[in-house]
Amino acid sequence: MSNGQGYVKKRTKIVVSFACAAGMAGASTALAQPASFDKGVDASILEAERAIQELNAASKTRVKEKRPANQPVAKAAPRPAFKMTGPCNLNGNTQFFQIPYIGFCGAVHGSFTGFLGKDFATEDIAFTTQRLPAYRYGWNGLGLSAAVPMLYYWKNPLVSKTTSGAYTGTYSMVNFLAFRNTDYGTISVFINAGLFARTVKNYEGETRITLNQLYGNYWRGAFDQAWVQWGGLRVGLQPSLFSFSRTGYTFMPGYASYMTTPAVSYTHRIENINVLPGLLPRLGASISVSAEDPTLRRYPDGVLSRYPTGMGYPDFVAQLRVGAPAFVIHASGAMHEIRDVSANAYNSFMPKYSTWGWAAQLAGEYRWKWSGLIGPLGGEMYGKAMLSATATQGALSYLGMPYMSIDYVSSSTGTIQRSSGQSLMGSYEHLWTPVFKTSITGAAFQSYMGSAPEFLGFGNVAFGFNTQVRGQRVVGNAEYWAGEGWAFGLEGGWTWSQANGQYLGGRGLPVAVNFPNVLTYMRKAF
Amino acid sequence: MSRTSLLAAIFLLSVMNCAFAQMATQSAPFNFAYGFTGGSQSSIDLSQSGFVNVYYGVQDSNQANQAVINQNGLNNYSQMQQIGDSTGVSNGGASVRGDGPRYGAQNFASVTQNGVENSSQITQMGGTNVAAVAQNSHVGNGSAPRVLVPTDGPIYQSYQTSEGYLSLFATDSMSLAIWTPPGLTATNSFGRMH
Repeated sequence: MSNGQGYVKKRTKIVVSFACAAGMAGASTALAQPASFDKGVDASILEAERAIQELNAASKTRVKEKRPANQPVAKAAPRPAFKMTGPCNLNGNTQFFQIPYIGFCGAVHGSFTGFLGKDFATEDIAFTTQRLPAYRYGWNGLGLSAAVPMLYYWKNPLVSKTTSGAYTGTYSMVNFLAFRNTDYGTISVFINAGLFARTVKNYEGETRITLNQLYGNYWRGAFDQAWVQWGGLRVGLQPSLFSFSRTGYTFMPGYASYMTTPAVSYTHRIENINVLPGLLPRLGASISVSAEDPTLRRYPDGVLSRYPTGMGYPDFVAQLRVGAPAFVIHASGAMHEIRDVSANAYNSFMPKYSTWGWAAQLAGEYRWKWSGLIGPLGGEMYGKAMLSATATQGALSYLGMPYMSIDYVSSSTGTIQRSSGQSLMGSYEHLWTPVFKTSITGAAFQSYMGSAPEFLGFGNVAFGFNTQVRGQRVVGNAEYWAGEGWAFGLEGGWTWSQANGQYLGGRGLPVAVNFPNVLTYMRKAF
Repeated sequence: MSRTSLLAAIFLLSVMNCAFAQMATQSAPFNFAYGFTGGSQSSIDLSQSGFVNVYYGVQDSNQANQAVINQNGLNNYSQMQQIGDSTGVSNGGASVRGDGPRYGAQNFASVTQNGVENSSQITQMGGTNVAAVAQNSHVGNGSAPRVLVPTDGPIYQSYQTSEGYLSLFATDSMSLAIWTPPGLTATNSFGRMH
């Protein structure tokens, strides 16, 4: 559909929840982060992928322990300090084995997930960008060139071809963790790889099987995480520091970013902050910085915004987390370099400008046992809730929204006008019994793209646009853990989106779409 | 017809043999302008504000034809022909310039109409043809009824042929038609995938 897709890196963002791994590897206290995912160009596909993985990781722990591992009680025991009581016996955890000759302890986990879903969308909002011909100076003097940016929005009925029938897929993965204590700190290695595939249909209604790709390579797409860590320094394919723990407790995500990325990061942990110890026992914090791959954060279209090939500056990300057993507060910020070559591509006389986009996020999660709030009526039920709010200018990927906006619009002379946006996500999970839970997620986003009015010729009206895109989503989920590593889930969601624009000072008609979707899945952890 | 519009009509009827723009402003209740231009280059810059605005023009220059038409009123009509040459050989079309060297001409037409009823017709026959039409049905404080109102949201259509690319976009308050030759066509699409 889009030539601009060539400028956007497609990838799957699946992260494995491996609490022990994260703890040992130096993640902050609260912070043994479960899995989640992120959005890319194929938002719907990625949303399904990440959601499956999210549940896969979370329930795997639960099934094994037959209790809600992510639902600590108010007086939950603190995470045990790393202490070896045997050659590879982590506080009685016998899942680790000795790796011969190199002195590392290792552990292998895995899971198989199969899913079957139906998307009921019969049409969706599409965006077409164009550079209107206009007289501009070039190397040969004044002449016509593709110059003035313009954006149209419309309903695309061909979507019904891609959503006819059901889709199915699988996520089969293996997680490997190895670590060794040294006099200079713990060295750890973590790899998560597997087969991530699903069926899709094109605009002709033909079914295809797609495998995950990264940088256009299937073998790279098979790796979700692959990193080495020494003390607080981590190098390799790892979760972005910008992201909070997850994008909601449901299968389909809310509008919040979660992705893994090639990066170099460093985390400094502060244990046992002695602030109001009676009210906030075992309060800890972490401060992290990272340099991450900017190409995975680019939302261009190729005509109004086009990045050059290559990386340029990495995305600089910082994160602060404060946590105790019952809650986590997360703040993060990112700087994203914008380097435009689109105006120059159509008129080589025009310069190539660059600037910086930014994104910031505040998020938090709180967990409790209902009996602690309402007494015996609460029984053995647990609850947890999370909320995140994100704002950006020029780095739309950090919103976790679908590919319905671009990072910026460059004028005919190459000057950059950054897009802006905000997203909000809230989610609640209720554990009714140790083997059954329900959850709900609500999310919304909005973004603005626009151009400064420009003249096509001499003295005629100035053409410009200002387009707003909004979206909302509500998702409900129920999951049952059958034991022996088996889990079964059912989910339904409703998505609403709207685009509206102004042209030549006049108001345009809004175009809105909404559609439900359902999905069922099964998972076997081993 | 007001004196202003008469004056404008008179000088636009003249045949031009030079490159400077012919500019006219009309502000009578009913404005009519007719132009036949030729020579090596022709350029029309017309602004009309009234209840009814009409422009009809033929431009036949062998290098470049340009017309910029702004119409603000209840009823706006614009019709123009930009001929030029596409092959360097006379095509037998309407010509007002006489004999002389013939080149692939550049034709550029821009029409902006603000009114209850807007009508525009452009015919171009040249080496490079570019036309843009913007029609806005907003009038005054919105008391006037709108016309050409799509009932199912914005409409976008595009057509691509060997001769060029046509992009049509319309909302309730404006419509935009862009003709671009192959070398000046830059478009792309994006959106959520399913």
